[in-house]
Amino acid sequence: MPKEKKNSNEEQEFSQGGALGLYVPRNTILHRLDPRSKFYLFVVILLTSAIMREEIRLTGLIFFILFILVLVARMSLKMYMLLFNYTWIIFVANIIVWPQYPQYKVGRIILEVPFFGWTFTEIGLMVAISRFFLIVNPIIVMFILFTTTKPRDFAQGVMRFKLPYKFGYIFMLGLRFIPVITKEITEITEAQMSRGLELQKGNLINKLKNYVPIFVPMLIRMIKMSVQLGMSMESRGFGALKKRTFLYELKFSLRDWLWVALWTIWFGIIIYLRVIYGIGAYPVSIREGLLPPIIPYWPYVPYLTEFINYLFDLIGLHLW
Amino acid sequence: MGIVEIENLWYKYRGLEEWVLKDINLDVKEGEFIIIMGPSGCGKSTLCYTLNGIVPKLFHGEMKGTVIVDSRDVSKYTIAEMSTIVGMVFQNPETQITSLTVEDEIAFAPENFALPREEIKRRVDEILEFLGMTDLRYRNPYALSGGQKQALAIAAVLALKPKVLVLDEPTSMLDPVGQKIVSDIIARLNRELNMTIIAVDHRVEWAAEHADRIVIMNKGEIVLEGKPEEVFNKKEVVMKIGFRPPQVTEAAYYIEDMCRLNAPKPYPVTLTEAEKWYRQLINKYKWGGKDEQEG
Repeated sequence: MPKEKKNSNEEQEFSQGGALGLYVPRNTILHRLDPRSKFYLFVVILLTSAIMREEIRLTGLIFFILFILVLVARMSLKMYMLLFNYTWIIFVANIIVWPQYPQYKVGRIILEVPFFGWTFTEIGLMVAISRFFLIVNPIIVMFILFTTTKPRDFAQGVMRFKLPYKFGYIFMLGLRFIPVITKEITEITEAQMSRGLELQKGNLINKLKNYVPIFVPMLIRMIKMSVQLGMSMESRGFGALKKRTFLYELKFSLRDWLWVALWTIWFGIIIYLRVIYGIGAYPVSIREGLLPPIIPYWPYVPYLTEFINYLFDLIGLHLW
Repeated sequence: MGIVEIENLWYKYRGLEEWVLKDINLDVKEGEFIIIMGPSGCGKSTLCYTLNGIVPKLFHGEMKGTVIVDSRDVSKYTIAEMSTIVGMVFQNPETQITSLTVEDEIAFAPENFALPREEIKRRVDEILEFLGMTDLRYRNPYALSGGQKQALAIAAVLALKPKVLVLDEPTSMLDPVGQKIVSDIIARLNRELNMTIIAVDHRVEWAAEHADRIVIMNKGEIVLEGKPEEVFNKKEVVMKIGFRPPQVTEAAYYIEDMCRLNAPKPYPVTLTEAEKWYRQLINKYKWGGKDEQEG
């Protein structure tokens, strides 16, 4: 019991004053998981999404599972909705673009826009939603990863992946310096405005030009600050040794092994469905007979091209 | 044998014509509290940076002479290796804090040297206890006051148990409350842990009260050096370089000049000394003054 109390105390103290990035202190299973196992989830979800990208039932299922994980992590839905504030554009773009590909213009037509020549079929819409899910799912996993992991654990996680711990510190220092830089920008802006700088004057190009007297001193200050920070860190032995210890060591506990095992099984099932039954290679309609036949095809070669295609999908390109 | 020995040190930044440090000689004994003062741009900070090798390893330039700290030639060691001997605290607390909790910040330096976890934990506890910051342990440094931030920066350096603590203008960006927090810590470190301290600071009153020795620099040279009372008694030199002595000393100079008196020597440096000095002065001219009034 006393341990519990200490934790909640720490939680409370920790949350005072911003600059923690997305991290929300809570005491849930997901918070206690090792960042490495959460990263494993990300990899699994990314690969699963790539393999099952035409299959709305599976991408939808992943979406649902992730939604439950967000609830398990006791994230407020407000924060979760924040995610969707920025992804609705992807959603709309998907809904419009994907049904227009000729191979998805089969089956029952739901909507036709004559002027643009757009046709929305059942299959087309399902594919669109599926593609939306497969972009959003990895984002949600990342969201879970960042909201449930203490920033300091990232540096350690990075080191455990046999990478130099310096990389982990880039992220942490970024978080540490966001409020400092914000303060600097406010100071510079106020100073320049008191000397008669008008930010909202003129057309768009002029408005951009108005920001030069803020941007230049800010850049100079930031360079100075980074030099000072480097001096300070180096005179405390940063980078002296290849390996370093951490005050709180990450432990890959039984919980983590179970988690990894669970998702490995999941991934195995996905591979099995894809390779043996070809599920996920073609869109599935509710009505039967419209689909290309499900053929058990083995060996299936172009996994790599498939994955590369998926990566291009993520940035909005599609290569045929 | 002092803990810090600087011999005939010359230094010039790359691309600059003028020497920043000109023939500096300085000997610091263990447990001494030294305050370096001087106008800005006189090379105080550069002198501090030579002590752990930031100059010339990070700021490249031409260097002549030797710097020996704890019988090690600084030029032969890396900055990180020197950091267990020389602790360096800088001006701006914001740019020294790297972590998101107070505890992690203090643990940062020992972590870098891969010390065992129990040892790190012990050091963190010890330092927090010493500075009376135990209740701030899980706080985000962002939420601390300026003085507390600088105290944290000092704590982070102390975690390596250095023998010499070098502070480059630790209080110049702080408000009076913060200045008091930090200067109390520095004085305590010297008094209670007998730590050698070399600080750059502009507050002469504080320096006169606490320092064992004051070093006044001007244009890259050491102009005056010695105990506070010795230094400020060289009135001509102090006035010549335009250095502001403690207010009580300044007042004494002023009284002497204005009234054309033969003021008692030495000049006062601290407030208690000033009280004595004025008593002496009054006693000396008491009868003369009375005579004039009566006459």
